[in-house]
Amino acid sequence: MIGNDIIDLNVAGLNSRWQEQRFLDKLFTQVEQEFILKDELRFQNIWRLWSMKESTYKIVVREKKSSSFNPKSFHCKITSDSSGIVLFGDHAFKTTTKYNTDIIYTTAQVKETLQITDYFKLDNPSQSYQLKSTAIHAYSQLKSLSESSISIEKDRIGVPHFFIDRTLQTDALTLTHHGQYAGFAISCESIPNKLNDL
Amino acid sequence: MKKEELIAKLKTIVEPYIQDEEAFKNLTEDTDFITDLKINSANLVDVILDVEDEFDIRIENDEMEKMLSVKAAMEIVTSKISTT
Repeated sequence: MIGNDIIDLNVAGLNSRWQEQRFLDKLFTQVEQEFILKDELRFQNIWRLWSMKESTYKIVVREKKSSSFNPKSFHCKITSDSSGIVLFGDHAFKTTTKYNTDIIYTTAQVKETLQITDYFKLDNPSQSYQLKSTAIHAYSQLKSLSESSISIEKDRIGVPHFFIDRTLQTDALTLTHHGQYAGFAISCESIPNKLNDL
Repeated sequence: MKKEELIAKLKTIVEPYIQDEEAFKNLTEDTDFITDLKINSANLVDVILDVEDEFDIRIENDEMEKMLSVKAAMEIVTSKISTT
């Protein structure tokens, strides 16, 4: 089980009320707010924790098969410059975050099943098919299959799945798109994993 | 407040954050913020803060959790403004 999330920092800076205390109060616990405000990097810290929560949230949605918006139920712990842990209920998710001046990109996973992850700048922000075709290309290489036999379909709650010759695959795919950037991650799952009591 | 008036106000609030013009044009009560309008989840909290300001209400965390569609937003707003 995997999830990912990309933040286009140029868009996040323009189109959000991140400077307000009320914004912090709705998304982050007291401990997380202390991390955010500990240095001059408030903006980066906010979006780093947010991408950790969001990438984990995508795993939970996949498992629960329903969505809700409860960011404060996801508790972030930073363990190094790039890695962290997100706790949700009794479950712990490992996260890896990459960042530069343009983006913050996090992948989350339950077990070490992550095979491929990548992010890139879209040629045109409205061309979301470019993300799908890039993921299909990566999956075709992984499986040594032709791209034409692979398709991606989203289910009722918006979770994407790979199909080979129209047959649903157990390998997990997660997609993310924000502003000019997009990312994907693929994990190989021999059987559909189940998290208990989510 | 009339239903149409409420929908119109919500429409104005979500407009800066939508990423699907077609779904926005055809917005109804059943429109979902994330799966239809493709609002980035990072912007969902901006929508909620804007709703709080527009209607002068406070939305609690357990209410925010459900606020994923036009219909849910309308129910929360209606329940808040009718009790004040």
